[in-house]
Amino acid sequence: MNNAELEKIVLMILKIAGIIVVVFNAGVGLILLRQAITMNNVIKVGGGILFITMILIFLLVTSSILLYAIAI
Amino acid sequence: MPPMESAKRRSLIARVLPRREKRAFGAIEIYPKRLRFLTQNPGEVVYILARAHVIVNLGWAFRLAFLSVVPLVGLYFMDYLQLGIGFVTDELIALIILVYYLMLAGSFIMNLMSWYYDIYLVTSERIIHYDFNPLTSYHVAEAEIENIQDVTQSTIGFLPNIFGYGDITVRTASSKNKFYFKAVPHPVWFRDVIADLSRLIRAKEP
Repeated sequence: MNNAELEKIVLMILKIAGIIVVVFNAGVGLILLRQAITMNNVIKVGGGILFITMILIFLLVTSSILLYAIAI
Repeated sequence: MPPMESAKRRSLIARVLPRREKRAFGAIEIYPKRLRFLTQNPGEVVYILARAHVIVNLGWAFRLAFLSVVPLVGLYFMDYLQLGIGFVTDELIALIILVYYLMLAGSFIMNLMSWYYDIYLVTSERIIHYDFNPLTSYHVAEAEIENIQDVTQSTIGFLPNIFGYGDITVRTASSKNKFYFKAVPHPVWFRDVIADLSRLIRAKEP
């Protein structure tokens, strides 16, 4: 195996690792969104909607990064 | 079912908690506005909403601030010292940095939610503790305010003494049942108010 092939494999591994981490983050975001909605039902305090919005933005950014990771 | 608030009792409670106000950057709210909770009984009044002092967030906030600067410093030095891994493309470096900041953002939301939803309520009937653990669970504990037997306050440590927050332990009639209010601001005032409210609510109607 020459150097060019090795570099290609390393790049591929890095890219796949990146995609896995982004998917993991998306999972975390979804669980947090579910919990934020539950907590907002259990106790309504001012910041509930703020958190839901924040997590939705987080998920939006996560999906954009996922698309970017797949595209490069 | 606890007795309804009479006018006399209301006026006595108004002496303990005279008006709506926020203290310690909103960590304590007296007569909180627009607060409702799922198990609220008809006529149940929320007197106090409390959560840990804002300063308890300092640890994770500093940690995240430090971690958010690390890649910038790393990039600067890599550029300055002309270091670099030749075959790693700019797109891949951008992806790694984006993923890194994404993880930091996730951590920020989790920590903030954990603090925000760790809530103590003092109502006209009970004290309630909502304990929220991000990604895993939430616990709710409550005790009748009539059953409160004694309230202990402790302020231990450098930061609690500087910023004026501490822990309150509330013991109820059942010896097993203990309530911990962790790192609440104005602990002396808080202990006094809980003890006074408990006494007032326990007192027989004239």
